[in-house]
Amino acid sequence: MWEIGGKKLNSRLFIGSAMYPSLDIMRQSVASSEADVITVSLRRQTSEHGDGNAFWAHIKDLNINLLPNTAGCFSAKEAITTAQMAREVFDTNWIKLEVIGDEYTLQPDPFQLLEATKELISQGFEVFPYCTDDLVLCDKLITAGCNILMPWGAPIGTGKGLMNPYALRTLRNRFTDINLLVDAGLGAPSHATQAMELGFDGVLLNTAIAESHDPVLMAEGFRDGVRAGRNAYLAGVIPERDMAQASTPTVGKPFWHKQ
Amino acid sequence: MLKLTLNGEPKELSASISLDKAIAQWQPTAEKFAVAVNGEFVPRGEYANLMLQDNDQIELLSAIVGG
Repeated sequence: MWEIGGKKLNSRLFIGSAMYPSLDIMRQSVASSEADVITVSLRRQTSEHGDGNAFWAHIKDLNINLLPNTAGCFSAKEAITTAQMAREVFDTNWIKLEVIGDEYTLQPDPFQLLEATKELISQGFEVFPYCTDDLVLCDKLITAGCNILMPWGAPIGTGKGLMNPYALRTLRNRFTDINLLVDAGLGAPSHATQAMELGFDGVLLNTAIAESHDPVLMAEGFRDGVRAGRNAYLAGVIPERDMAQASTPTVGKPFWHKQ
Repeated sequence: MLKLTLNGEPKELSASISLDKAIAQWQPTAEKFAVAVNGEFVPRGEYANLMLQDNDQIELLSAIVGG
């Protein structure tokens, strides 16, 4: 068990609920991932999205922690209002705070993000900020009261993995008491393993599972990848060497004669 | 006659009425929803106290999948 945002969890994998071929496959994938947290959102009722009742019924059945997001917000004002609405609908003070600054990369706007974070923390939210891996921004988010940071691995949906392991490792080394999760950009379970090997507390992803050919199986893959990386971090990965070092003992080897 | 928008769609009300009465009139089918008027969140407990005005922009949002 580990603790984040005042809740005790077993899994270190946070999973998104979007883009699955069907709600039933979404439900099966979440189950096979063994995730304890699922991300959700709010939208206008439309013919495409429906009224949300079927989705609501599915996530209630999962009996899982909900992490609402503010996806699609481009200003602190929009994000704050969306967070307030999400708190009422989903009955949680957790908010995955997204304030986007660029439409093409969906890169977070650090200035609007910090402004929204300060306001939401003052209103009693547990803010999970989706941020870049910028050290100074992360430091300011912590100063604003964040206990959790969610730097990107790569832009949302790209599947590129960890673009800047150096920056992520730096965050881990500098902010030892903060919950760090890599959010976005992961494509393969090995990417999740790499993040966990760096000492991150968890990973959050959606597209890599939902858009695979078999989301239920891929969810298992990420489940196992996260566990592998966590175990490796706890066990201590050996330092790299440039030269070979025989693993089989050299003393007592046969066919060796003194000259 | 009041002209306003609900989720970006034009709506008309014969007179200024409270938000809770307007919602009852519009009959959203969503089981769970939250409302903002002119970009400001309106807690459910405040619906009866908020009188809608001409040109108000109302957002009524419900649960959906998200990443």
